[in-house]
Amino acid sequence: MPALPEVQAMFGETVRSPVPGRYGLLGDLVDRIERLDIYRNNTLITLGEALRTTFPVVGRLVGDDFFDFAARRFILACPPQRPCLFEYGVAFPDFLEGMPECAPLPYLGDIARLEWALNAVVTAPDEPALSPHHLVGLPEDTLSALTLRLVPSARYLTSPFPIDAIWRANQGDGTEIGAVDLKDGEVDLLILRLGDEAAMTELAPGEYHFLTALDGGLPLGTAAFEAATFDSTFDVGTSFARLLAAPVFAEIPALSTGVTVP
Amino acid sequence: MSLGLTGDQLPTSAGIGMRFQHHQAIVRELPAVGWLEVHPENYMGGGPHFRALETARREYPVSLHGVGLSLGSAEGIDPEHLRRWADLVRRIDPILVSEHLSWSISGGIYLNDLIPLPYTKEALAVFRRNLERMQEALKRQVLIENPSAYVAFRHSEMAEWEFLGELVRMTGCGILLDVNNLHVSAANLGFDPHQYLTALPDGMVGEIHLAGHTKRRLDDGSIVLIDDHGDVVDDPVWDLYAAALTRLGPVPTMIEWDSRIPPLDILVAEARKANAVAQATKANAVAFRSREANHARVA
Repeated sequence: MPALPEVQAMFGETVRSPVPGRYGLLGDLVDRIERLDIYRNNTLITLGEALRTTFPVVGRLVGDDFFDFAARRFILACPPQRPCLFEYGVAFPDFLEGMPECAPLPYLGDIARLEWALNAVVTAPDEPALSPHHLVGLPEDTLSALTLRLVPSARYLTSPFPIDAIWRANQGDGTEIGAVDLKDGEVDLLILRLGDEAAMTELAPGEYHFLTALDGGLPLGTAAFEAATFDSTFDVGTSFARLLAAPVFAEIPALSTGVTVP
Repeated sequence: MSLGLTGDQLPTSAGIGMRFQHHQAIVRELPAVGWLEVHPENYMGGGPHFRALETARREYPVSLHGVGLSLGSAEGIDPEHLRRWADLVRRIDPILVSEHLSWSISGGIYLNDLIPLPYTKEALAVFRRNLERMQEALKRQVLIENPSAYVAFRHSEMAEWEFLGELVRMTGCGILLDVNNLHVSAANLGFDPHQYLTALPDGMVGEIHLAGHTKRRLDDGSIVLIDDHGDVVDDPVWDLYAAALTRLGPVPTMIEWDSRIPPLDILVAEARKANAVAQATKANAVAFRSREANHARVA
């Protein structure tokens, strides 16, 4: 008799085979062999439902049948490795972009990225945010040298397509919003949790540059300088205050406890 | 190891599974149910879902019923997932903690299903090792639920109830008896559910689940019962529940509903029905046990 690791490997292969009915040696180990397909169905259907919960607008854009087809292919190619299914699907946007059938919808991958970000900020761990009053009275050079980290409930995204408008046009019954003009062009977005909901707001090009520079580890002063060089309309005072209030940045424990930052 | 609570903390009326769709309604309406049960895997992040669970916990006893630790996996259990489990137990202080007699992970891939084990000595050693790790990490007795099954392994060396009984003896775990699963497996695999009930170790069933299932006809014409938790509890399952309570005495009971989830009041009505069955069975149970005691004395 095969040992348990072999039995479980064979079972996994049967469940994850591209077509039903491939039982291999497992067929000799169980009675009622054709019922093995019930397990394959359960896995594909329930993981497909998990993807649909996370990517509803992708589902609306491609239709139910194609979504099921794409989800099935994705589940077989990139199955989950952990049981928390709200964390499953980070690779789905790239996967959709790689499917030749999706080429007529060039914005589909970015819509999926937006939906992933909305899902991720809602379920992100709760972390204390940096508050403006933590920064009151800091000397100019200390402030300028600060490096900041984003809270897990804040993300940013850029796209050459108006994905925010496409996303909004696919909420509810979608009748209140007119057609989206793809020529409206690129958008930089901040996605964050507000209360119990995910929200998105547009960032000016300089703000987006500032945020990515900070998230990349650059000190506040350098990030502001780079953003202003990139976008002459960028005003660090206004934008930093807006991002702080969002809130976007994680608390710096040394500041909130009143210890001097070197 | 003990349950970590005294008898009077255990709910005496039936509970329901809390799912995302009912978060708002539950914390707003505070339905008359004895307790709530959730899948910890849905609450291992932050934000509104976790806050809803915290809010519900202030109003109700809550139990954590895991679906993803894969205690039957030969490759062992995921230490990171176990760490998140322990963290949730610390934050929620559940009245009961449970997992399944099944496996879901092979080769690091999570199949999102509760797959039965071959009931062999090898599988028993694997399950024991994983379950002991879980109980040590959570510092709790874990209740292990009988699975619903569509196939059985030819090389099993013992019956499922013997496997469960051995686990209880070796690890001090308890049993979560899913009466719907028992009905589904008995029908699908062709065994007598009453023999199973009789064989369960005394005093070790800490919780009962009730749920709905679906009948499906396969291509070969045979009927298979699918454990989809998508309907009201079927009549034969109510009968088996009454038989289980007669055998076991009062046990904390809850209603599970996971697909085609109905309005909250339907779940509450099912819980009420469970209470009525439990009430009606009480008198029988006393008679049954005193009769058994008489038999024992005679023997």
